[in-house]
Amino acid sequence: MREKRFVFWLIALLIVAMLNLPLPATWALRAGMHGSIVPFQNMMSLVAFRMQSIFSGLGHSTKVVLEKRELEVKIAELRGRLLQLEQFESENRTLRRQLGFSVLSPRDLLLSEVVSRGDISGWWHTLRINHGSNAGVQLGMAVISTDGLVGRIASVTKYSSDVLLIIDPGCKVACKVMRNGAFGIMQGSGIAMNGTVSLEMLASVKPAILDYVSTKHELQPRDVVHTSGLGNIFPEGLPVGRLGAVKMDSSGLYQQAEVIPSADIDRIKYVFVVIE
Amino acid sequence: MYFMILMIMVMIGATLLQALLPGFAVLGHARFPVLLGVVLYYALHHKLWIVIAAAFTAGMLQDGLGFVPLGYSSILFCIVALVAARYRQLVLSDAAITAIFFGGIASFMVSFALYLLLKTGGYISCSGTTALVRILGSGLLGTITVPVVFICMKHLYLALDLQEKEDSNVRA
Repeated sequence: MREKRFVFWLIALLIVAMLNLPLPATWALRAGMHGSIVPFQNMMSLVAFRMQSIFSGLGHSTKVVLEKRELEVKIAELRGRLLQLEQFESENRTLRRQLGFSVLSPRDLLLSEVVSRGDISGWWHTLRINHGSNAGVQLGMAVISTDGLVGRIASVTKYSSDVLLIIDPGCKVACKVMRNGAFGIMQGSGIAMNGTVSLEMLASVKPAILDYVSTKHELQPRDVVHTSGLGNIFPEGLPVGRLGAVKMDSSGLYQQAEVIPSADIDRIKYVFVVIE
Repeated sequence: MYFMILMIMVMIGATLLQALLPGFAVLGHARFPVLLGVVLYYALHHKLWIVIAAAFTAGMLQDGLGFVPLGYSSILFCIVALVAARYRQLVLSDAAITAIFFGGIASFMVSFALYLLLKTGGYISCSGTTALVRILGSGLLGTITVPVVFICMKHLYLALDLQEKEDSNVRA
């Protein structure tokens, strides 16, 4: 009986202490836990990826060869395009100098691998990547994929970082509709969606919502949406997605539109952290 | 000592598995409650101090690796573990139906209580419908995950010859 009471009070005391830990101590504790778990997550992610590659390769050897050829052609095409873009870049710099404009610095991108998906409790939509503060990652940095905006860095430890995805209701993105320059704020609905609705999403499929868009601007489905750079959280000009259905807000003061994110958040394997 | 090291290893394994297994959108992206399954297994099979230590550790791991404030899951896991331990004399600890029943109820309750704590603290901003789908999804996943965890844990402890010693301790 005494043992029971002792254990009960000890744990109660520990929990109260945990709940009242000062912020730096909480961060240190979390960082320690992340640091000890992330190497295992990296290993599991690598094993899962290798297994997937082996099994997909076994069943479709001809398909793999064909895909390889297609990719080689694509790489050659992209190399050509890159050369062309480099020429344009140099021309653009020269013209900006001649006109007296400041030369825009290119964004530094840090390629990172996704080691796990989703918050362990299930209440947040996150990704964990294999780079942390030692690689220059900082809180609030934007994370993109080759298709578009993915999210922002929500927590950083030395060797890993957590990305809060744009589909999370807690992630708000200041956006701009490219066709007419209309501003709005996009908020996630918690559902990963990239234009096609898969079988596992039969229930409550809701894309992200672009809110507070002025009624002066006419919005059309399939309009391209980029980050506006307002609020200084996300840099300007990152592609976010395309508009879906447009409607008037119930108050009648502004418009709302669905946004289908362009990044394939459900299947993403590599992302870029925008280091500025 | 050996038992405690094994318990911590099991907890870390359960944490990695819970992080690795994907959530389903149809269930509101609820995760498979592997850690809760381990806590329930200890609650139905082991001494009280082990149960509490396991619940506290599991809660700490869940909170420390996610965005939940430290201590929230520990409180909930401890409450669930104490309630399960309180009623373990009345149920067949090794029966599949016990695991299904306790798994479903416990997962639902933990998920619901966590939602209330996070919502009142302003940590999450999901809609009521999404939360309801996720809480029900957690309950459903609990009925599936916990029996599997019980089987794995039972075989692990039998293989390591620790089950009998612990059971005899519980009876004593």
